[in-house]
Amino acid sequence: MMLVNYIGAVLLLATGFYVMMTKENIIKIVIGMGIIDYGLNLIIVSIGFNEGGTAPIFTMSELKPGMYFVDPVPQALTLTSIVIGACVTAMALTLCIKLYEEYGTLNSSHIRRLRG
Amino acid sequence: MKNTDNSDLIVKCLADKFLPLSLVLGLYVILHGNISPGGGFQGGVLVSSAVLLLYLAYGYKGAAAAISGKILHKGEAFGAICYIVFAMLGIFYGFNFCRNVLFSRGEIGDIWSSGTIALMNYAVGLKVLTGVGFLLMLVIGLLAADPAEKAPDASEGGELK
Amino acid sequence: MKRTLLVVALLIFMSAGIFSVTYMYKNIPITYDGSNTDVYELAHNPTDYDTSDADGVASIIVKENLDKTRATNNVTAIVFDFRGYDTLGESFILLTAITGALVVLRKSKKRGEGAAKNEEH
Repeated sequence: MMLVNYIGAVLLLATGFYVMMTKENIIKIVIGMGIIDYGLNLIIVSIGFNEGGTAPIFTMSELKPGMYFVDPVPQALTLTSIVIGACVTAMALTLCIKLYEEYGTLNSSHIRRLRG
Repeated sequence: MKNTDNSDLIVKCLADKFLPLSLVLGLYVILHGNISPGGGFQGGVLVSSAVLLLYLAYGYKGAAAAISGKILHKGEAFGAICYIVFAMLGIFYGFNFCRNVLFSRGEIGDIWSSGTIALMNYAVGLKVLTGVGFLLMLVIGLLAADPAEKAPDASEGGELK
Repeated sequence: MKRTLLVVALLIFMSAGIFSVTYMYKNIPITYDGSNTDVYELAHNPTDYDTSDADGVASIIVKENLDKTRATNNVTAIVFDFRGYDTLGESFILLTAITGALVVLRKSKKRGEGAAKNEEH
């Protein structure tokens, strides 16, 4: 059942690389960077899964004898990774705003030509 | 206030109804960080969606009248300092840096139960709330600095020193 | 020519990725297999479980969490107590991103049609 998650994460990685390398609009390049981040987070979370396990929280009135937990350590590391992805995207988009005000176009090959 | 422009009445009504819901749900998720799923990061982003709802319903002037950028900017620095102070409690008591020295107060399952975990949770929740809200106000102020719309002559960042 | 080379390289990358992920799913055993830890017993007698034959860090953390931190949420206890340094670094990165955005966007309005300007430095 986790094989679907793994294959989906590899497809997201390949799509992100394709978008980053062939598109010319700088906002589309930033979107491709975000897609790579999401694929990596998915594969980290899917590694720590046990079949039949429940969420790693001691709820005081719903536990029954015979339950066991899934792995909580990859979930804690993915929390940090999601926040880092959001911060990098925010910084890249402010740089896009400055580029548009300096050169007047959103096309990366035209910008490369204008700089001489 | 009387304005005869009723073209976005549905958006204003929906934003009026959903704004207190997002504030209360976000604060609940932050407060119960150590006994139920959630925590500081998730609840902070939920609360900061109130800024976006205000902008969609009332424009930049309505959002800037209710929320000021200076308080949000100072609140973020305050949250970061609080996190470091709670982590230095371990050194003041004689142990290593990030040690849980108040863990034996309170019962298991209460809100005040696990010492510095709950305190650090509130500090990070405040930091994410004010940080993301300030970032949204910055970009929205930039969008509104347009000759078509009468806005202040510098963005939010120009007034802060 | 360049585009066909790019598509071929991406296809090789994708097929290698799918092959390695399928191999990992079938052959490599998982380290934390919590099926011999009864959660109901652990919640009521937290000191009955010994950790001398644990098979990884996650096993030790789950068995000793209620004893050492008295927090019922395991994930929050890991993020703020067992690995608090990572959260300190992440707070720092949030602060840096927002300050960077503030500095870059200072005094920026739409300045006409945006002809190419000379750089000042």
